[in-house]
Amino acid sequence: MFGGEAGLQLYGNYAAWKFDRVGVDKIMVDFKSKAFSIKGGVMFKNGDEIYGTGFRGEVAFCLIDKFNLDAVAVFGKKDDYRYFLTDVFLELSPSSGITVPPALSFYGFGGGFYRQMQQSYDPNINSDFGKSLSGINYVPDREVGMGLMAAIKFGLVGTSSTFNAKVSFEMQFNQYGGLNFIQLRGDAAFMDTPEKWGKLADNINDKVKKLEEAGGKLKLSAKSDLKVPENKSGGFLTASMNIKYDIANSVFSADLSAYLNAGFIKGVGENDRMGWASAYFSPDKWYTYIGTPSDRIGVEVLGLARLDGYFMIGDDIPELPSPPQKVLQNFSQAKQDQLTKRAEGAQATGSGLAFGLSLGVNFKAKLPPFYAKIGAGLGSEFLLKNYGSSAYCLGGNSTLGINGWYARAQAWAWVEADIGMEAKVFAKNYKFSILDISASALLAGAGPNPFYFTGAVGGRFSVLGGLVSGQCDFDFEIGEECIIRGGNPFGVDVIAQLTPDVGENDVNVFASPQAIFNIPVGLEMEIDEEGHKVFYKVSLEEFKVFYKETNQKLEGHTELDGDGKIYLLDPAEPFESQKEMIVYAKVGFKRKLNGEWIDVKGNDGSPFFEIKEAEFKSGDRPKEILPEHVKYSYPVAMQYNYYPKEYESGYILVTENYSYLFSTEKPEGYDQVMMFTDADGKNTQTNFSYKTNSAGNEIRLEVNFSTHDIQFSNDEIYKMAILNIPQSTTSGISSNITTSESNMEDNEDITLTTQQAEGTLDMLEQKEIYALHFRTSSYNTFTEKMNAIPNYEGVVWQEYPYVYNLISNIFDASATTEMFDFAENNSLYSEQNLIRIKPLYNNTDWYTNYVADLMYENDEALAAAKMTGLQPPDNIDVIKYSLRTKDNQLTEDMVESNSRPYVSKYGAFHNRIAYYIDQDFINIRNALANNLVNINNSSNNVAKLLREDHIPGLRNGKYEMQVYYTLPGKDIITSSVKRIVNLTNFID
Amino acid sequence: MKTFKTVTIVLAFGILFSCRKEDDLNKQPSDPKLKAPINGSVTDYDEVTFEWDESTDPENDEIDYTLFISNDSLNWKSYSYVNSKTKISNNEQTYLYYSFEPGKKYYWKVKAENKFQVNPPQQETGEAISKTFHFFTMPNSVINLRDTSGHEFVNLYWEDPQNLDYVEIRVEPEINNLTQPVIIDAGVQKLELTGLENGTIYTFFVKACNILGHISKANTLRVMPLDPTQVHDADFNIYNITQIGEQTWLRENLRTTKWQDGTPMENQYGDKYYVIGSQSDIYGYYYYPSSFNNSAGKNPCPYGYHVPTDEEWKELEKFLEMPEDEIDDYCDYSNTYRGEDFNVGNMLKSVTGWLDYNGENGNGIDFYQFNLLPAGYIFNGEEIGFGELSILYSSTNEGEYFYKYRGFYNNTSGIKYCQTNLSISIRCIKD
Repeated sequence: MFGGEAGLQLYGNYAAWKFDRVGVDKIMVDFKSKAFSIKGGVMFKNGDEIYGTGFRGEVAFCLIDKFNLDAVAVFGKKDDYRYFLTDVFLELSPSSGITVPPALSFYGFGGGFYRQMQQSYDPNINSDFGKSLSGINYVPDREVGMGLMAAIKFGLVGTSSTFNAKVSFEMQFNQYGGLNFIQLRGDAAFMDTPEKWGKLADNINDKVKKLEEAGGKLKLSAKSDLKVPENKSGGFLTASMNIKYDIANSVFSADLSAYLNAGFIKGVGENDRMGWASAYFSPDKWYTYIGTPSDRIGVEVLGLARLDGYFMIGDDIPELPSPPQKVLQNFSQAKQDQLTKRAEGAQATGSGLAFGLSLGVNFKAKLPPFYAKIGAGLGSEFLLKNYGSSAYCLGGNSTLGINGWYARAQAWAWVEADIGMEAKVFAKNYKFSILDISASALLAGAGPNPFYFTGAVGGRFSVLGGLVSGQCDFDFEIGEECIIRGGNPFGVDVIAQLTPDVGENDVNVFASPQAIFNIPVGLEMEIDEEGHKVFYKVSLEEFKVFYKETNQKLEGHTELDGDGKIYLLDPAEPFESQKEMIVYAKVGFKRKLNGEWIDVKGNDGSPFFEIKEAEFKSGDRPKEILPEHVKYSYPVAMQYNYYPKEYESGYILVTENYSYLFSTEKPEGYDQVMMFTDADGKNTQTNFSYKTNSAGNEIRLEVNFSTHDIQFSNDEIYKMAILNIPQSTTSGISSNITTSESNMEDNEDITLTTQQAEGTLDMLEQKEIYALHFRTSSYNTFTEKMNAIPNYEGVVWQEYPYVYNLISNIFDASATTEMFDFAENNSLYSEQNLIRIKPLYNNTDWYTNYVADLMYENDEALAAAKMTGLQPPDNIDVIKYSLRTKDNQLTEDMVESNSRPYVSKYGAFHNRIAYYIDQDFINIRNALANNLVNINNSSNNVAKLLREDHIPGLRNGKYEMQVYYTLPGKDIITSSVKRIVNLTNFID
Repeated sequence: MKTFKTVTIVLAFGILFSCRKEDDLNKQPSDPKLKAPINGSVTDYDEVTFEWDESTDPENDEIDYTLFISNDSLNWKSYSYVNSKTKISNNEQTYLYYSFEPGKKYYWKVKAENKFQVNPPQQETGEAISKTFHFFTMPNSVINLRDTSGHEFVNLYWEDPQNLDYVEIRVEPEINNLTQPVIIDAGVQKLELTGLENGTIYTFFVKACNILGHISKANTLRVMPLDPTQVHDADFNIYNITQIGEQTWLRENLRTTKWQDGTPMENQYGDKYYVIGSQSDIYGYYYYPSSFNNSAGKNPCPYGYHVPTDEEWKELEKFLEMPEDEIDDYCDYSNTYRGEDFNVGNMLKSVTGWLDYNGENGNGIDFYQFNLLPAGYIFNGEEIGFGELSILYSSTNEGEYFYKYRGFYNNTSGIKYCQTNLSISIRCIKD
């Protein structure tokens, strides 16, 4: 019988009523004979939205019901790439399979290839074009490389029920053609029929199901994928295996599970699992396990006897388990706690060897009215493990064992019996125990370094339902038990806080993220551990700040404060505006072992770290330089006395990196200039330059400009500003309007004016990046001013006995009193004062006549005090101006109204050399006192100083000093003036 | 009968011994034995104690004593019915008075007389006279002892008394390298000591020795050397000084209990002219006007200083740039303060100690180390305004009872000018 089907589509030009072409959708064929049948067809796609252009062929062939072949092929092209899918099933009967001498017969094959196609689970695809034999739709996907899935069935020739197996084979290629892995998985059955494996197509469907779970991509099977064989329920002995080789990562692994259920004898594991084995080899780890202490292999006979054990070699060897509860129950509670705690708290990992064996017997019998329960067990375990050269016992200061190798062993035994009577009284069962007895013993040891032995025996008995009862226990310990425990030794989180904190928004873009620690980083700390002093320290492993979106790390200057409790990053660039960011800190722990610092490890055997991170969101970058970020400028903001000819340059020193205002975020269509504007609005422009300093510097941005060409007037208030000025000079409401004039056609006297807008009006306005105000002095230079302000004879105030302040009054007699201003003399930080005054000691009579020999030129005394080279004090606070008007500077009101403040014309030099020299005197005397034991036969010069209990009081004479004018933040001295104060009418 | 005879004999003896023979003479008492002043001794002349052994009388008659004193052994002044220990004072207000003079020789003797004075008059009076002793009164000490002191030095000056041989001086506490006593010959009349410790009170004991070798009583003088920036009051409290313009002021409020001459600052009834507050160790004492305005003209300030007059206050205010048109603004209750716009008050107020006012800093700038602390004042025993204000007297009165003051407050940088008679602070100024 032969049947067929075809689909045609006719295309024509509707407008012209003309035939265009014929489109073929599909061609199908269906043929059956007695020997075989064939069914199939070809399907076409042309310009399909999903599949592009291509065709699909499929065929099902059956030969005398013994040979079944199903096949599908899809080929196509979409966009600029090609794709294909092939899928085939071939399945024979076990007796007609392909024989591999001498005993195996392969009788089922299935699988397929695909390339640049991807499984799709989109329900909206209403087409069978990409459907595989398994029923899954494939759609073209440029990103997918090549994939292969295959499965085979095989068994023993002739007696396939003795042994048969089903194995699947998976390979995956990456998009570059490389092989990612090969995997062989399967189950085997002994003494069972092969039909239980089901059809091979079903197996393929299983794979597909797995693919669905994986989102459509092949993945390497995990160890947990090793499941109970499908035919386990009927088999006597079944096994499953999983062997794979991860080529990309050079990992070989093999897992095997064997199940035994012979009725009277069964495996001890779940689902009668008798044993399991796992082997794993990779460049950095290897092991072979045949059972573990917690998942043993073994058999159980009739529920009466149980034999189990394990053998492990390689990495990740766990600690010895605690003895069974039946052993522990007879020991004292303290001993039970110790044994239990040891197993729970121990560091679990290490490489080495472990094995153990245990045997238990339980017997129950009834001979009415008597009953008996008798049980006994014994076991032993051995462990030899390399904990590593950095392993230690709590409280120890040297490596555990021999270079980290340490052995543990334990052996135990228990026995219990309960014999009694059971009888029914008044329809209820009652039990009367005649003898209830149990006993157990444990012997355990560990060593070497430290050697440790412990043992315990215990027992209890109860006779005649408790009429006579008792218990006993005894235990001993020799040596010191080694407790291996890793992790944080301090008991508190080391990282206390991160800034910015979690969830903070609008974080200042100039912020310096910090990690704040509860325990100082890098500081060696002594800790009491099990009664021994040991040393730990915290190490900062990583601190970073990065953008969440791009993972881009911030570069910058990092700094740990002196206490080791704050670590910060001063970023090179401010945060970008409105970005989600993460600050991340990771600390590790070091412990001193054998005199060296080693990493403290966690229970998994790898170095232990504490990690904390906080996500925050940055604010906006400022569009102008904020005044609080200007550390220094010249002219100074609100400066009252700016001397126009003192220094013909100006600058602004900024603590944050605002360079983006002049580069990446400089607005288009603007020029940037420095502009000086007087109170009348008359302005002068000058250019400026800028440079940045790396993170970690106090000054991050420096703006420099020249004032040479600016004609400043005296006693005038100016505004100094960095401006963005529109480049277009025609800005205004009509700047985008063009006007044209023409005469009206019928009346030439009338002019028609037409206007047209060109583009959108963009009103560009002048914008300030930074501005400050200052006033010019009545004097052009500092020296000129000093010449106009004399000083008078000195007077003294006593600060405390023998220590005097020397005062010399000054008087500003000029018409416009301006004296000295806040910036010159009374800055918030005195070291920033523009005026600095230093004593000229060599021209000061009191110093040369009374002090020098006694102190600063008394080399023997200074040497004895270990203060050789000590110089008389000249810091900024030794001599200062003292002014009646201390905070003389411009205010907003003055700027607005162009007014001037009241300034007192009185002031004084305030000279405290005696006070500061007295501080040195006290220090020298204290140092001499502290070093007295080293001073033998004090020389006359040392004795001379020791004889005095105070410095010489000030005396009449000359006191000279030098007055400097210094630029803020740059320490450039632009002027220097000498002054003398005469002290008379005091002590000669 | 035997009993009768015995009684008769006893009676006969009793009559015999109880009767006196009418023609017996009165017998003299024994001579008084002079004990003090010892013959030839030197004694104080403010008061001399005369002492002798009492005489005995043969008939046990009562004895009366008469003391005789003479400065030339010719003319005697007698004191009848005195005891065997009698004090004769140099104070003429007293009954037993003698005008002893320093450095003189005196004589004395005692007459003992019994009281047997019965009729008939032919009976003799019984009397006995002692030997005549002489003694010397102490010589005069130095005259007009005074001192000058300064930075680590003290100078003593005096005038020599008559017949001076030398002057002997001791000082406490001891001074290094100074051998005591210091002997100064007649005619030198001064002692200059250097290397002393400033702020220490030195007590000098000065005695004069005349040509007879007799030593006078000690004149005492307490002196405190100080450096030129300090002065002390009569209680030896030390004050620092400061110069403001042409004036020199103390840097602390007055805290003495004595006037400059050392007498207690109180009236005859013991009422004190000052009040001591709970924090007077910091803020000084509080004085009533009578402390500086009293009929005796006594001055509470340290030597060379006085309570400032109103004009002296104004001179200070002018120097501190108080505007001319505000300086006479007297008792203005409109809550405006003189010199406020020019910070005049703050020039004097201390830089710490003043309470904030409505969140504003109440401290001054203390430009001239005047160090004016907010001492408040005391009214009816109640301490008012600690931390908030300071009121200082001038010695210029306004009417009969009030005196002008300057007030400083934590809510203004100006100065109030008005009158009061309460107990307030005093800040002294140099003469």
